[in-house]
Amino acid sequence: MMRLILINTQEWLRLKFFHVVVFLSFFYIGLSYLLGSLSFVEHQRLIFDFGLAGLEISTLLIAAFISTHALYRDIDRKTILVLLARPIPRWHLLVGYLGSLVLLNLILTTVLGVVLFSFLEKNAYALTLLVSIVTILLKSIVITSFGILCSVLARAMFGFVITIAYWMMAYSIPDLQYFAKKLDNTVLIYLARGLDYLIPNFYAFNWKNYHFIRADLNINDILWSWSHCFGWILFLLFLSSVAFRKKEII
Amino acid sequence: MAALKVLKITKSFRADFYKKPVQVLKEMSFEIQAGRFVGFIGPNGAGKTTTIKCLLEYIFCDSGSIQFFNNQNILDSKKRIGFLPERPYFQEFLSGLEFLKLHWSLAGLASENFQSRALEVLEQVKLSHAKDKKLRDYSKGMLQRIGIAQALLAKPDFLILDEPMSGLDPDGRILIKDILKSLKAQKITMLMSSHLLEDVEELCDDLIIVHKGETLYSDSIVKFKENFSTLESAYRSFKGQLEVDYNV
Repeated sequence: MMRLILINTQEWLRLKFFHVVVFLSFFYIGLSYLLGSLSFVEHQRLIFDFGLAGLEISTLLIAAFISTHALYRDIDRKTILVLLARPIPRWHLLVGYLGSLVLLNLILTTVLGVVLFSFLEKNAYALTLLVSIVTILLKSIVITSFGILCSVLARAMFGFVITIAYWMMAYSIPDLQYFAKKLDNTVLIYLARGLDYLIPNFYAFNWKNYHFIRADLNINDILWSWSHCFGWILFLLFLSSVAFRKKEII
Repeated sequence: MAALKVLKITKSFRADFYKKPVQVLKEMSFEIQAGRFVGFIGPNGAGKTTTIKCLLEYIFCDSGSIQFFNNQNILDSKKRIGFLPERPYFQEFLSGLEFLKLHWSLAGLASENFQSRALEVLEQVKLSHAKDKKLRDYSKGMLQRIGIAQALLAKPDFLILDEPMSGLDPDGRILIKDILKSLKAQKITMLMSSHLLEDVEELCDDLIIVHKGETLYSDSIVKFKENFSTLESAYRSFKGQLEVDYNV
């Protein structure tokens, strides 16, 4: 299993898409530094906000694109036929994709996190930065798991679009609930409630401003958000493996 | 002893949900005895690759049964099966040895035995000299041979080869044929799908002919070409008879 994960990671590291995303994320973080320098009072916050947003978008793009294309690519190239000729259950392949993308995003978040940290003036940001980065990584794993589920059920590009929409929805549910309440529309209220069950809530995991609004990071909240992510990862992976067990590889 | 029993398997595909399903395999049945080298032939679209995919459960039969070595559990059976699909892509950034290492670990075999077995199969497929070369630098023939090496790695009792000689130059074909002959001498059961009748005639003991998802012939090659000098002339006559009988 570990070998499969490492070989998949090597495969993704060679993708042009990955190189472009890495280039853009460095560009974005560089831009955040420049923007921060232009600000008089909030320049640390700007670097922090922009930098982490860039990091999240990079990990999202990598997770969504590669997870939705990996299975399709292996089927198209017939690599999957050789792999599945081995006495392994099919879900091993999915764990191989997930593991490799976790590793890839872990490398990316670590490198970008170190760069971002070097731009910050005080070590006081270190804990918030670390918590934010771990949360971003976990969110990317949730997106990867959803992308893998899409790749089992749909075509690659359609799956990619759905996965991006899923990420956007994961940030929009509290807003939708708020609007539904304001409009006092029963259908919308139930729709928002239903979506809340179907989609994880990423809105609640925004730790990056805690330092600046001088709020303490609450360990219980952090642990709750992380276990929320883990729960979704396991659930989505379970659904994918059930669907993949009966998928016909034509 | 039967190494493989295929009994009345059927398979239909639906191009779109609103279209009528097309039956690709129609109660196909055949048996392969242990130690025999079987040629699997038929025109394009006859159902050869679909049958192979059913055998390895890449796709699932609508009905019928498949047993390798009297065992219906495919995961168990896969421990004894080696497979080479038609023109697969192998991870080109790996060396020959690294590629085999991946398949060794997927087969769940003890890592301490890897080196000696890998060198043995690389020797068998005449790739010892290229074991550290990246697969991107392999020729088409070498890739086909490393594919056979991965299929042989776990010492399979049953080898399935889908068009192993397609797209190869004469030298590559000769090398693959030599490898297959040596495997035949080791009494490994083999099923080889092919369009090349002369290769099947030269290498195989038995023959399975499929057409439109049905088994038309499943017996020895000697018997098939009893009154003919070559397999091709026997096949021509067989097809001629088919056209009369089935109006195909």
